[in-house]
Amino acid sequence: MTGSRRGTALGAMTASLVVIAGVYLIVIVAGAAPLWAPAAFVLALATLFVATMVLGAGRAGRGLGRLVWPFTFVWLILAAGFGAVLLLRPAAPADPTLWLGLPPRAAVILYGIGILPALVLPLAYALTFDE
Amino acid sequence: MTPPPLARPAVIAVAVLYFAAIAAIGAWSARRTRTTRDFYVAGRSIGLVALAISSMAATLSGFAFIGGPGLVYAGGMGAVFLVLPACLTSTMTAWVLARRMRRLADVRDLITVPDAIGARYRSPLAQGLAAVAIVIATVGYMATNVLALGLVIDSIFATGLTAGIWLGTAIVLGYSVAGGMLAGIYTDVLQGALMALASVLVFLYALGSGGGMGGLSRAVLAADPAWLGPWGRMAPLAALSLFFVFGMGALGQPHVVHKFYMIRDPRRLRWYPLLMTLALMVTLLLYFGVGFAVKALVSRGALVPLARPDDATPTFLLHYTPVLLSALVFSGVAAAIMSTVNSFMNIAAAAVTHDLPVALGRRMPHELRWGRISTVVLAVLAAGVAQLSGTLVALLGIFGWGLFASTLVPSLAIGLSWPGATRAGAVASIATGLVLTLSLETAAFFHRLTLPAGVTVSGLALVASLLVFLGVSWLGRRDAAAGLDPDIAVIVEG
Repeated sequence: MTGSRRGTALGAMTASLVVIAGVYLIVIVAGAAPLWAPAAFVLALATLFVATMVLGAGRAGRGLGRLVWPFTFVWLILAAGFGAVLLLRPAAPADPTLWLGLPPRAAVILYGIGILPALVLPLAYALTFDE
Repeated sequence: MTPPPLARPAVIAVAVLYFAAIAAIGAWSARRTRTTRDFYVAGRSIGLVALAISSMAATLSGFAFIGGPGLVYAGGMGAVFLVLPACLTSTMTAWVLARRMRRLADVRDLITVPDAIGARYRSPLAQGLAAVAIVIATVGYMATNVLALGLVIDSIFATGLTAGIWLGTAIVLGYSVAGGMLAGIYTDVLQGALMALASVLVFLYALGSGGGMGGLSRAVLAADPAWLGPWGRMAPLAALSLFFVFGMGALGQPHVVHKFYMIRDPRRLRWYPLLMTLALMVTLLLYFGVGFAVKALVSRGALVPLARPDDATPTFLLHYTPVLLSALVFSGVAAAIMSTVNSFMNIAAAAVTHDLPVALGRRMPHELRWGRISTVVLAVLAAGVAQLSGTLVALLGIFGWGLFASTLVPSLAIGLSWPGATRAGAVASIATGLVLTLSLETAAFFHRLTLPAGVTVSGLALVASLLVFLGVSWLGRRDAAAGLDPDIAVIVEG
């Protein structure tokens, strides 16, 4: 792994943890979460998980190569998935729209965040194992 | 948890068959366990399928079959956030730890997780602190699991709780002491297969009971739409905190990552994330499916509201599954608990007989014999705690995951991937995790500390120990890489 890439991963990891710690402290001091707190937490979570994977997958003197794509995909799934859940309106109980049998926001959580990374990451690991 | 009366003969028959199979594996393994390496790391002889299924079985305790569905029934979608990170934790753990730990085992002949920390930082102190954290967390975990095992055995054989606790402990001890980790791995494979099969079948019955996912959703939405909201009954921040703690915390679960030492051919790790993720997701179907189905059936009036959420699985089995499947699930619950207890016995015994003496600058003579003796002592201690004090069990039980996460994730997972990590950073982060988790969890348990919704002790301790690790290491980063042993440096660099 190149030094700059490792530095970027560590920097992103540290920044994410500072945001998470900051959100916790603000909630403790204020007694409740401000409106922006879940959105900040989501961005920090997505960045933290991907930075950890980048740090772990790095190999001496090499860039990420093809792994850039699955890592970008996972960051987008986590950030956009949780973000969409925060923004979408609740389903109307009288006439609920269902996506694969679930209300849209629950479907994004279960099928999007809960399943899509599982279809991509293990294969990315296997296909780049020898690199 | 009480099995349906009509199912009792079938439950007893399946349980007896299951315990007989466990005994046979224990006897087979005992003949093959001759050295300390056999006892603690299965002689580094296991294959990929055994690694993946035994890791899954060790990860999921009986909670996945009883407490989890109850939590979903009571809390809705928010309870899913405990298991939602399963989609990425196996691959993340593989990238960060799998090959590095397996190579460490080769170059240094390591047998425990604190061994890896000691070798990485040339620090007996860091190794000793990690061992202390492991012993505290595992005794608590074992006490809660042994108590649950006693309840299951009592419900199947009507032994009474005390006899159930000691009978269950004796069964797990029997194969753990005789066959060590080799017995643990192959009983885990049987147990994991049983758990996965039971989970898939029950999930299909759960879907069938309510007209598929759509039918279940409509029933719940009509009565309680918040339950099917994205966060269930939780605040968004509380659900996201669970994702953080259970996602990042997976990197520091010693009973799981310890198994990377054991694979015979490290090249087979290529397919570990795929198999492990698949095994986890299949086995977790019951967790969500039963909680969802019972909530829908109660919403529709087909079932009366449950007196206790933990009754979700037994109630569903009683009303909606065939007798034989009900029997399979009861054995599956026992299997899930036993596989977790066995893994904890092994790592706790290793911490006591191997890591703590190494940290104090000496090695135990006859490590294999002392390993077996300490396994018995720790199991008896856990069973005694389980029998004597409900309060102590509850208190110790809440330490587990969070203590492992806050003490081991920074120094082990991040430290093995970053040459700039320092010994001071490792010691400071482990100490931070220990002090914060033990003090804050104890204060919260005795109502001396109340945290607002969304903030948890485990989340606070994990983020603090990670920041302490990164900060302290950053201060000494210039000398860190030069201080690495050459063989360790090659592994850390990847």
